[in-house]
Amino acid sequence: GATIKLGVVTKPGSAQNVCAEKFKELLEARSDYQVKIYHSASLGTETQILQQIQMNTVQMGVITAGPFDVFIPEVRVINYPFLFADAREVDQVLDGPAGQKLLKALEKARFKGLAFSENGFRHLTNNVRPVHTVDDVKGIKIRVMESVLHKELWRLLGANPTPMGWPIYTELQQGTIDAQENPLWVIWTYKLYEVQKYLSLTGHVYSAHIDVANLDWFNGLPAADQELIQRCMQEAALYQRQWNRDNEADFLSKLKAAGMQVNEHPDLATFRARVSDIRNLDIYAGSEVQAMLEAFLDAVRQIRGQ
Amino acid sequence: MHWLLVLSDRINGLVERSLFLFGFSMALVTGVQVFCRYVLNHSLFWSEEAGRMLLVWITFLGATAAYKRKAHVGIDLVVRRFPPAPRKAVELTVLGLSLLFFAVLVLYGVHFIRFIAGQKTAALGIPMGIPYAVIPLSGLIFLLHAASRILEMVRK
Amino acid sequence: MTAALLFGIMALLFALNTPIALAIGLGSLAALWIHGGFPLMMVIQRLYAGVDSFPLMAVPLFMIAGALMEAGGISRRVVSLAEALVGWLPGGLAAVSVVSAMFFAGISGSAAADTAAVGTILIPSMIRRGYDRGFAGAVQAAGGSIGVIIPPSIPMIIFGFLTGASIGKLFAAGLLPGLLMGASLIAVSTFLSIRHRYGTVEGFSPSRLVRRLWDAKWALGAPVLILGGILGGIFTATESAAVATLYALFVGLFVHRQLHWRDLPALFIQATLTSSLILFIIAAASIFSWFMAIEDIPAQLAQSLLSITTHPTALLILINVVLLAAGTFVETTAALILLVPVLLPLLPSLGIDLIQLGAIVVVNLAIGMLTPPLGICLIVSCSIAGCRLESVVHKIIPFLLILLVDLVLITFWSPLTLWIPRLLFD
Ligand code: NA
Ligand code: NA
Repeated sequence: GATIKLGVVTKPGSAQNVCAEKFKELLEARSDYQVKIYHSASLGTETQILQQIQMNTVQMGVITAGPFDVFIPEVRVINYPFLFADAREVDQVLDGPAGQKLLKALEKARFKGLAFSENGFRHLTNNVRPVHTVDDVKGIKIRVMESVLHKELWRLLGANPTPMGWPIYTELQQGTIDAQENPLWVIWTYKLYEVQKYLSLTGHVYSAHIDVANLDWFNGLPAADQELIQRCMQEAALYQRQWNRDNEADFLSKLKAAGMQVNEHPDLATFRARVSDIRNLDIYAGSEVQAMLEAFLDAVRQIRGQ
Repeated sequence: MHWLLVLSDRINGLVERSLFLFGFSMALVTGVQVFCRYVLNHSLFWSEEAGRMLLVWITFLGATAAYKRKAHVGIDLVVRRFPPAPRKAVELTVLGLSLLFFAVLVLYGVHFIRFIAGQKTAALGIPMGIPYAVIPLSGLIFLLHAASRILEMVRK
Repeated sequence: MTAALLFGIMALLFALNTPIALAIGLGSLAALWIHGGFPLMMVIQRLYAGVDSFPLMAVPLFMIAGALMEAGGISRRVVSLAEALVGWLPGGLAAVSVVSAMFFAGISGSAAADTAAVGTILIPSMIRRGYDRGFAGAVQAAGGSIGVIIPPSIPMIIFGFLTGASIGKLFAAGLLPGLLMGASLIAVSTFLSIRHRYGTVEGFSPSRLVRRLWDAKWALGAPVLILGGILGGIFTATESAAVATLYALFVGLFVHRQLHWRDLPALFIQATLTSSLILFIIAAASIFSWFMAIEDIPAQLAQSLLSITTHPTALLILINVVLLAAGTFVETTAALILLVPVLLPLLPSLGIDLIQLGAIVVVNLAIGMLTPPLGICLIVSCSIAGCRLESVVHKIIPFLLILLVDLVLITFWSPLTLWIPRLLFD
C-alpha cells in the first residue's frame, strides 16, 4: 500500500513518539498503508516539519501546540495559563465542541486536525528554593521556550524568563539558569533531576500535541480511508494520553527517589491572582483568538458548573 | 570597465561593509544579553533570535563576498593536471552549474518567502520573510559575481 | 539508487574543483530533482535551518575574537610566553599550538571554533617562524579536533539529546581521551619537528618565564575569563565568544593600544568572511542530510551492518569504519542526527556502555574533521594558513595515524572513557 510519512521532533520513547507509533500500529493492522515515522529531529524543528506538511513533503505530524501559533494564532488558547485544573477537564474540553472548533480552525493553514495527544501539564523545577507561593519565584532565572506567552507569564509571576534553546542540561548544571518548566516525563527522560533540586507541581500550562495531516492530501483520499485514518489517530491519541497519565505517577515517585524535593500542592491561587491580566496581552488580542478563548473558557466553566 | 564588473565591485563593497556591521552587532547584542541577565537580572528576549538572524545573514552575504574573492575551498587535485584549454572549459562548466544553484536561491527563495507570508518570528515578531530574504538576495549577488567572472574569462 | 546518484554527482563535482558547499548543494539539488517528489522550496528551508543556530554563532564570534587578539598584540605575548614555556622543545611552537587548542577546548564546544580561535593566533606565528604552511595547518587542525573531545562539546550535547545519555557523564568521558589525543599529537609533532629541524626557539629560563607571564597577563585574561565564565556557569559558549570579542576589543584599543578604530572594519570583514566559508558548507550539508533522512538511507545502512556481522568486536570495528567514513563526507551534526539512531539499536549487540559509545562516536567524527572533502578543521586551518587543502591533507597523515591508535584504545579499553564519569557521578 501507499506510504505515509509522519514527522515528530522527539526521540523514540517520548510522548509524541508513543502516539505516532500507536497510530502506525493501528493503521497498518487495519489497512494496506505503511506509516514511516521520522523522529529525533531528522527532518528539522517542529516549525519546519509543519512547513514540510504544508508542502506535502511529509503527510502527517504529531507536533506540540506551541509551533502552530505562527500559522494559526487561535492555537494559543490551549496554552492559556491555568486554563485546565486537571486531566478530566482537558479531555472534556478538547474532545468536545471547543476542541473540534480549534481543529477546524487549522484548515485555514491547510492542516487537517485529527486529534489531540499530550505532553501533559508543565511543572516548575529550580535550584534556588522550594516554591510554594508565587512570591517564591521572585527573581528566579528561568529558562523558557522562545515564546511570547511564556515570557509574559513568567514576567507577571515575578521571575526572570530567559529564552534558551533545547537542551538545557548543561546550563542548569552550570547555573547559567536556575529553573525550567516542563512536563514530568521531560524532567525524567532528560535527567533534569540530576541538576535540579526542587519540583513544584504548578501545572501552569497544559501542553498538547496536535496530530495533523496535510489537508489537501487528506481530502484527496477515498472517504473510507479518511475515516479510518481519523479513527486510528483518535484512538492513538487517547491511548497516548492514558499512557502519559499512568506514567506521571511513576515519574513522580522516581523523581522523589532520585532526590528531588517535591511540593505536590503549591498555593496556586497566588499564582492565578498574579496572571489575571494575561488575556489583555497582544497575543490574545485578535478577535478570532478572543472568540476561541471565550469558547474554551466557557467550556471549562460549564464543566465546573459555574 | 564593463558595467557588470563595476556593479559587481560596488555591490561587494556594500556587502563587506554590512558584514562588519552584522559581525559587530552580533558580538554586541550577545554581550548585552549577558550584561542584562546578570547585572540587571532582566533577560533580553529578542537577543538570541536577533543573533541567529545576524548569523544567517553573515553566512549568506559572507559566502557571496568569499565567492567574489575566490576564497571558497575546492579540491583541484584533478583539474590542476589539465592543460589550460580543458581547464578553462571545466571552470566554465562549474560556473554554469553554479549559476543554476544561484538561480534556485533566487527563484525558490522568493517562492518560499511567499509560502511563509503572514508568519512572524517568535521573539521579535517581525515578518519571517525578512530573515529569509537574505537567501534570494545573496542568490542575486552570487549571479552577478558569477556573470562578471564569466565575462572576464571570455574576454581573456 | 538515488543515494548512489547523489554520491556520484557530488564526487564528480568535487573532482571538477567545485567549491565544496556548491558541490554539496548542487548534488542535493540534482537528487531532489531526479527524485521528483519534493518541491525545491525545501532547499531554501534547509539552507536556512542549517545555520539558524545559537551554538553556531560561536564560530564567527571566536573567529572575530581571534582576529582582534592577533591584531591587538595579544597573540604576540601569548606566543612569547609559550616559547618561554616549551620553546626549548624541537618544534616548540607546534607543541604550543596543540596545548593551546587543548586549553581552548575547555572553552569551546566546537572543533571549528577551537581551530579558528587558536589557529588565527598560532598558524601565522608558525608560518612567520619558518614552519611549512601545510604542516602548520595540519598540526593546528589536529589539535583543534580535540575541541569536541575535552568538554564542553556540542556533538556530545547532541548525542545526549538523541539518546537520553547524561550529558554531564558524556562530558566527563571526554576528558581522558582529550588528554591522550593531545599528548600523542605533541609526540608526533615533536618527532616531525626534529626531522624538519624546526627550531628550538630559545633555551629555558625561569626569570624570562616570569617576565613573559606578567607581560601576557591581559592576554591570559581572555581564556581565564572564558573558561571561568563557562565552568562557573556565568555564560554559554556563544556568550563567552561574544564576551571574548568585546574583551579583545577593549584590550586592543585601550590597554595595549595596538588596535585602532580604523582597523576594525577590515578585521571584522576578514573574520566573518572566513567563518561564512564554514557556515555555507554547513547550510548546504543540511539539504543533503535532510534528503538522506527522508530517503531512509541511515536505516538501510543499519540493516546492512547487522547483516555483515553480529560479533561485538567485529561490530565495534565496523562501526568505527562507518563513523570514519561518515565523518569524511558528512558534516558532524548531520552525521550525528543520521547515524546515532542507526547505532542505538546496535548497543545490546556491542556490549558496551552508552556513554562509551558516545565518546567513540564523537572521537570518530572529530577525526572526520581532519579528512577531506568535508574536514571542517582542515578547511578552517587551510583558510587561515592561506594554502591549498591538499598541501595540508598531505601533512595531516601522521597525525591521523596516531589518532587512529588513540581511537583503538578508546574503543577497546573502557576505563579511558568510563573511569572519570564513574568517579564523578556514581
Ligand atoms: Na570542548
Ligand atoms: Na571529513
